[in-house]
Amino acid sequence: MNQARTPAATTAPADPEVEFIDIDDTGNGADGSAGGGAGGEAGGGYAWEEEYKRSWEGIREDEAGSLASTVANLQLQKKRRRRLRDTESVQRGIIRHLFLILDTSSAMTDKDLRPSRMELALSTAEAFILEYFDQNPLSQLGILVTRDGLAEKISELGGNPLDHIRTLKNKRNTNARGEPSLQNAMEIAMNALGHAPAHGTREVLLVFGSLTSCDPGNIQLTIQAAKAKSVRCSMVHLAAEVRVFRELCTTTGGTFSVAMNEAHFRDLLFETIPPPPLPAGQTRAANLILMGFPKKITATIPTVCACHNKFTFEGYLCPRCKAKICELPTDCNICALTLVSSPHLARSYHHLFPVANYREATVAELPDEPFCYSCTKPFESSAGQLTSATKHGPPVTTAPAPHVPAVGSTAIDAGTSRYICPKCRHQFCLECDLFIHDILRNCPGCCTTQ
Amino acid sequence: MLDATADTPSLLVIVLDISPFAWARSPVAFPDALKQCLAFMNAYLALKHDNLLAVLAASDKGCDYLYPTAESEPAAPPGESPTSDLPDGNLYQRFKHLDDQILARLRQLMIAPEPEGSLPVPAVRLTAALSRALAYINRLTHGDNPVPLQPRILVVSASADSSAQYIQMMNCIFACQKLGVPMDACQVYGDDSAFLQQAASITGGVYVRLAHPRGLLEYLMFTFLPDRFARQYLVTPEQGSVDFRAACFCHKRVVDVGYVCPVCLSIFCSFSPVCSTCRTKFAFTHLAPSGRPARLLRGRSGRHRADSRGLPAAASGGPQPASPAV
Repeated sequence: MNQARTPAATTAPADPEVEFIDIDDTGNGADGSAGGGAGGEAGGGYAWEEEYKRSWEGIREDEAGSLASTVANLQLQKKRRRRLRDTESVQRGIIRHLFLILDTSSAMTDKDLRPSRMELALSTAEAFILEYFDQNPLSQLGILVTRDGLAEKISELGGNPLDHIRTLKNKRNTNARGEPSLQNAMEIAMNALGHAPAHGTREVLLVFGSLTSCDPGNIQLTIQAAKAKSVRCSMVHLAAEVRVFRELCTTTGGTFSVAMNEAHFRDLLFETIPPPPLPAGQTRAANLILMGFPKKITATIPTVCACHNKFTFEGYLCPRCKAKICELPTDCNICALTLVSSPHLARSYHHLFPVANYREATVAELPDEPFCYSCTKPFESSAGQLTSATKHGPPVTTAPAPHVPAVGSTAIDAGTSRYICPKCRHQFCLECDLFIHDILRNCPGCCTTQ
Repeated sequence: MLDATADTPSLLVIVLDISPFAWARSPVAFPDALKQCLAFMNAYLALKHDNLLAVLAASDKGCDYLYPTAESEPAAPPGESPTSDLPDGNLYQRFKHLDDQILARLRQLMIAPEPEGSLPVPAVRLTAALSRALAYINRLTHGDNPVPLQPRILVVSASADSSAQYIQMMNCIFACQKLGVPMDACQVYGDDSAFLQQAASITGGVYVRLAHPRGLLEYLMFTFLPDRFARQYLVTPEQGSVDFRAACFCHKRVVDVGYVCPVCLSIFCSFSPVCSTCRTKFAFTHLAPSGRPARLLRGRSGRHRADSRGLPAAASGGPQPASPAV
């Protein structure tokens, strides 16, 4: 038995967000760490040593005695947190094979995260699966659970999100008891990932609540094996940092993080959704994959499909052998050509051609455009007087030309609340900046000039 | 979205192709088509008093809002807008305001100087217009003061697809899908537009290629006037077959069978030793994932290989000036 147990680790997730005033004053900001018996470092001290955050004291009335501007400012702050993105154009492994390993040990029944660790992990995992397949349509996913010192594969590697979610909803699969086994889970996952084709990445994402692991052998050997098979392991822990877990992640090139609260847990899990950059030194024997792009047909007379041997009206015709296939993406049953539709590929392109981060305009640049380029929302004038109704945003401070740091500024009040695309020099409002980077993934200005 | 009821007002964003080159060959002259479009817009506004409308024009020079123009954005009541002249006794004020503004803006755009520098690809900036349309819809439906609306986009296009805009177009389509905005498309003449067909099919919109372009107004009225709620009860034109083929990155040709880079998913119509997008080097053996006999593949892909032009991988340039750091 290799009981991995570490004392309170002092290296809680070092994330830039701690600098911000905690906006939600629900008070359970660091419950996750405290409940697990380990420390979360927030603002220099341990979570349990910290005084209760007096978030209400940060709110001041403005001259008119209204709270509206403060509230708007807080909302603006919250939005700006999400502004920084990785826009490096790097090689990414887009065809992914990922195993999600869920700890279903008795440690998951703790109620320090609401409603309980288990419930939170399950509901977040469901959202994760949907988003994963939305952003990685050619990728595959499987789910493992570990309890009673054993590990069990509850869903095989597959591409259908609904199958996985159905498995997660089955209570028998997620009944929490006993202790988890990291080694058993990793061995099963590595065996299953061994069959993944060489052009895809192999990844394991672990969600653990337990501070211990019940392993039959030497976990170090498993870690080395994972590294040798280039299985990238990442873990989001619900309680605290455990050295063995961190070692697993760092050795295999993954990330290890501890969730501070429910929202943070979700953020951490969702951070693993964009395909990870390939390690710089890795020169894999990449082969071009031959793929077919079938045409969808709707016939007036039903014909037999090649996949189920059933009569159907609709289907896709394999461009090579003209067999009719019901669903995409798949391999042609007749000629084994990989069949995808171009939207499946196109969904991943934004990872490859990211929109450049916009930078906040300085006061000197202000008079250029009076309106947001994409949504025609009027900007507030540079003098701090609003050209339109005040509802459009908080009044800007009229500090004499505050020097705004370029990309990734997280300054709170220095805002001119307009953002400039470094390529096309058009100005956008914050709302559009977020929309363009999170959903649209096109710069409207750059579309015009290209 | 799903909770749309019969009373929810619509937000229609029309993207109008005003490229003079495209309309010059059209069986219906642009002024005629514009007249018919204006009639359609008026009909749309007449359906419900709080229906919202935005019109964007896309040409090969760029794209811009025709209505509402940024100047009139702080929603002045139609009658008091400075752009409208004396009230016309025979025309509802809102219609007159709309018509005047669109015509005035169109004239402005037509005489606008060419943008400095030559644009690399002479193509209608459809994706720019769509991106701005989506940002506009996003502001109204998810912005600071969201109002319940049934947003949709209608593209009136007269030009052919520009494969250089493929990625941007797909991004627009997925954004539509995420926002729950159906994209309708009306191809006035010429061949079917594969992009618009895909857009309509993915977002749940309606795609129509006009069999009789002169009857544009009739198509618009019968197909694109009803909102999403009403469409549940109507039989909308179906697309028999949708072309889900992709354009290759090297020559921008539409391909049936192509080579895909496993690292970045770039599509190539012929084998190349280095991926032009991500600089991955490829092995020359085993072109198929399942280790199929190479002879079979080579024979099949001979057609593609035959028309490759030496492929200067780096010079062919990706669809975007991405500079991959390897």
